[in-house]
Amino acid sequence: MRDFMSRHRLLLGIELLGLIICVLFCFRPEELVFSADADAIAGKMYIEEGGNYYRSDWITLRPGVYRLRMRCEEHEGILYPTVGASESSFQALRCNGVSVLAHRREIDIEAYVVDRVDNAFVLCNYIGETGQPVEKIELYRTSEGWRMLAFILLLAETAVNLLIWLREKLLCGAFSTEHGIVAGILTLSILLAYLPYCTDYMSLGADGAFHLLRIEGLKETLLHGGQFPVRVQEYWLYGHGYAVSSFYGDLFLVFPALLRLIGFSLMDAYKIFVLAVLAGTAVIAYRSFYRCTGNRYGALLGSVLYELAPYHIYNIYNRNAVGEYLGMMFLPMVICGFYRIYTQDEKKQDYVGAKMSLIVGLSGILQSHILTCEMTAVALVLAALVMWRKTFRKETLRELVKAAGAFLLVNAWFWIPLLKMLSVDKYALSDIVTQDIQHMGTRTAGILQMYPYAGAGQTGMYNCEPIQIGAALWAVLLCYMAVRLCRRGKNSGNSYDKAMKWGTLLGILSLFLSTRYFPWDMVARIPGIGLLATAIQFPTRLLTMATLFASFTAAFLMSWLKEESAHWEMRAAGIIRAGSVTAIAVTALWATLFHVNEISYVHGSLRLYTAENMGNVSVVNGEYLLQGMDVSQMQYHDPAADEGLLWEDYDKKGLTISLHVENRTPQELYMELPLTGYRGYGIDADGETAVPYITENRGGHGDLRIAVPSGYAGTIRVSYKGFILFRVAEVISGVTVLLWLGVGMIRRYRKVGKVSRG
Amino acid sequence: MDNKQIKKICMMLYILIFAFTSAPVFCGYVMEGGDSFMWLERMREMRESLAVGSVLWFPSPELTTAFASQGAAFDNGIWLFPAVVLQILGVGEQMSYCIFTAMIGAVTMGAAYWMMSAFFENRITVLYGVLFYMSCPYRIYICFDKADLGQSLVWMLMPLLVGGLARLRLGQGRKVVWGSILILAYAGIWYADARWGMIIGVCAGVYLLLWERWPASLLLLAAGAVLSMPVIIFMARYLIKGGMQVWNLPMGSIMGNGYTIGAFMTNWTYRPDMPGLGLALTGAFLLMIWMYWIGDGGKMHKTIRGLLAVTGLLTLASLKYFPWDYVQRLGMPFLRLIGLLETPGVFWMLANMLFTIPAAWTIGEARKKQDVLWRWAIPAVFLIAALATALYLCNSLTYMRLPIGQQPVSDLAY
Repeated sequence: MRDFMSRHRLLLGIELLGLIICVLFCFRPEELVFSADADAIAGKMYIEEGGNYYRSDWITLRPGVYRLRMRCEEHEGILYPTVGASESSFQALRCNGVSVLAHRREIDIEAYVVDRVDNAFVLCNYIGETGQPVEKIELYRTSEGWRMLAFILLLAETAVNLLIWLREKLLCGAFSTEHGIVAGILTLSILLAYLPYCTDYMSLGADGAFHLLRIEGLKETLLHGGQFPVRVQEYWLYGHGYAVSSFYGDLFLVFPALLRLIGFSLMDAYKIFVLAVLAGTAVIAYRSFYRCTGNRYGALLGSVLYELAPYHIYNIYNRNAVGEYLGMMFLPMVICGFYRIYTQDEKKQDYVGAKMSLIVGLSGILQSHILTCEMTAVALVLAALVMWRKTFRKETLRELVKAAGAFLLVNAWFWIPLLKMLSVDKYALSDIVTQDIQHMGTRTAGILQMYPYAGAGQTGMYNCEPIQIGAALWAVLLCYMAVRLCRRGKNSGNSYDKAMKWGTLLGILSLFLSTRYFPWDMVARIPGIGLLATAIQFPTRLLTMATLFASFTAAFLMSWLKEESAHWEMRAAGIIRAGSVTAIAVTALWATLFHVNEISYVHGSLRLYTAENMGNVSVVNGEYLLQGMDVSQMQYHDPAADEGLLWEDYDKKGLTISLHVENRTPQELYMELPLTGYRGYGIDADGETAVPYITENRGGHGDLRIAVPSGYAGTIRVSYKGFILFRVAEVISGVTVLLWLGVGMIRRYRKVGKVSRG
Repeated sequence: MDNKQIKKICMMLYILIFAFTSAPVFCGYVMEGGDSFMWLERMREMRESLAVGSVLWFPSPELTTAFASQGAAFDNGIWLFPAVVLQILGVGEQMSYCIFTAMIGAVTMGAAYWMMSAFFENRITVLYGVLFYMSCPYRIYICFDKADLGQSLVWMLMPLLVGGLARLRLGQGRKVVWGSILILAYAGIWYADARWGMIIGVCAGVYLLLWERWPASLLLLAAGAVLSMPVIIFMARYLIKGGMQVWNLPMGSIMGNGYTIGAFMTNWTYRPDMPGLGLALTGAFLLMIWMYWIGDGGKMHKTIRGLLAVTGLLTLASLKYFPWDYVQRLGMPFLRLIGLLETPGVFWMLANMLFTIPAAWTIGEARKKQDVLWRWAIPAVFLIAALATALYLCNSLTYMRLPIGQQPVSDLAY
């Protein structure tokens, strides 16, 4: 590193200078570009049949990130402010506009200008019966553009430095051709899989809006502080908040949320996140498979097939199933850890290191997608039971117990609050997970469906989404079965036989489980485990496992074929081996090209620049809503108080509300606040006796309800605090991670010391 | 690889071929489109007629006009018995249809195997013959896109007829058995689709007389025709005397529905009702030309050469430039018969069926070379191309066609 720095001082100096300049500009104050008050707006209000609209004079906008802020009085209508341009270069001005629904008083939206726009304008439509309610509209040029530039520059400089470093390493022979091929093909597979987002739009799948809202909610909650880690996200449900973070791990969404905080649009932040996940998946899969097989090209084949598997691409683009594709990123680590624990010599020193993959992989899955974690855990337990002889070996059992313990301790901050939340309340989740699922499985024809059309349905046939393991992975399984069938005698002594056999068997078993022929509904009626079955919602989710096992098999295929072909009495054994692998790779390439092109061409496109444009109620099935909550009844509103209960100085920032209340009546009165009434809210009130408190019963559509005792007058502050158990769990996780890191560093230090002494 | 290993691989590939070329039957439902609804109604009609103690051998005029299925007006219901029996036993209408079409597919594969093994001794050449026959786009079009059970049965029976003739001609023992199969297959074709009984009878007769110079074989065809007298009489009465106005049978010109040259070569997709050769058969055709061009063609057996010649003639007959209008002007029976065909494309279908034999021969010749490219790589490419095309066609259908009478996409999403 020092050598590199000394050799490239000039380049690094220039890079640093550029970065410093950008960072300095990040602190520029906001610049007011346009402002209009109520009178100015009323003077230029145009009346039309569909509604009134205000349109400003031309404004000139320089490249940068702008914020349009609008304040209005109480209203019953719908406002639609936006920034537009009558003529500009293609997509120079990027703003979607936002619906400001009834009773909403303020809005702050972003607009991106990438080229000078001379005839921009501020537009605000209004549909409503009362007079125009807008008090003020202001347009600011912010420093977010500089922040984005600084970030992009940092990335570009890192990339340039890495390339230079790589070139030097290549020239001095530090990297072998094998490494180069692996890196090159992995990069190509990542880029191929990323093709649908190499556009100026994104495909919005069924879960897209939900996950984009999770990112936006996380960003808003982090921005306003108050909660870390976040448990209940503000922003959702007309500002009432949604406890999605308590039930759905959003650790990895912190990355796109940070990109949002830097200033990237939600669409761009999400696209960068997807690229990172694709890269992560390819690298993790390759590393994991390589550790299992010890064959670089075999691991490369397995990881490329896993990366390009239709179900993986489908989860990313067709469904935008963030949790599931994040879970898929970590699954190879789990299989790698498990495989190594069960196959490596327990006497060897690196045996104890095998559990690390299991712990990290399982933790990653838990923080990504509970259902994938559930499926993985069940699969692991079943596998451990099937291989009970190895499981109950002293060393293996010790490693498994250690792995389970470490996994539970490291993730205590997430699963303990989750269980606590589940125990203190009832959620819509409990209705959804008890539904029959068998009919959601695919049919035999669905398994034979291999052309990954964009689709819209889930049957695996008519108008189906690409819910399939794909032609390439089928080719792997068939290739194995064909060669295996032709084997002479029962045992050829192939050392990869077991891995191949189990990989294939488990792949086919998972495929079978993903169909409607497995009696899911019957299993659902078995007490104790029934809920585990129905919780997965669709049997087709098992394709995640099928894809994993088939890719695992693919990773071993080359080594296996090599040993197998040693027994063949034919001259062309090598060519057949190479031909099989080439055919599989070509099939994968062809299927992925079909898939990604189909998505780019057919799938609905979305150009989302202004996050608020999405609204904030896309809860999909609303699993984490309180039981009985009706989202359709929700709206923006002020506190709703009983008659006689006076309130003033109302201020709401995220999930924190402060206001002054006064109860002059002789009885206790109630007030409903615009917050979803999850347990864990706390109240700070002036006074020592008979202070307001949060009631057990909730208000309309699950609002948080406050009881104000008779004669009370004072300021109250309500915010989400969680439970003391949450803090305990967070401390447990924190201490575990610190201890782990500490012990790891000490061991490493000792090892380095021993080596240097030696 | 020894014989046992080759046998195992072939067995696996046969299963694969059947699965890939019959993918829609595994849906468990019947897709909309084509004549599927008409055939379901036909089964229902037969079932109901059986319930009252009679058998409705031919479709009623009401059903024929309701579904505009005049082309199937002379399709005898005897072949529908298996499906009807299944329904009487309690199997659902759509499931019985699926089972029936699956049975047709399985028997077609068996018959194709039987036919190919009459021409070729090499196990792999036979496999390629079956592959070409099963994955032929026209067969998939007939079975699943057009969903014409009558013509699907023709695809099933044709190999038995050709195989029987070939075995007899090549003197492969057990003449009585082969002859019986041939007679039954020909009779079966008449019952399945009388138009095809006529076309195949004429084509086979001309071929056997002019190319094979084997008049005795006509007796076998005649025996088959005798067995199918009820259908022949029913159709002949119409062709000669006319009538049947209630059926609204077509008598118009068919030339306009014929193929253009480009349509023969379509591979993955094709114009409505005009499937091309598909990737594998086109490849085999080009490979055959190439091998002869470079002088590596080998000596083709006379019978296969004859089949190739018939294929060429049938291809010409399927062109939209072939003067079918003039043939129709020869007299009312011709007008009615040609009108019943509805499209010259039917000759292309027969050409496809027959061309699978020279195509398989081409692969067999290629595999005789010693280098790996010809022996393994090129046949592997053909295998992949044939399966991929078949799968694409089947997958496209299951993807784009709704199941009859049901909404497949559940309200519950994600």
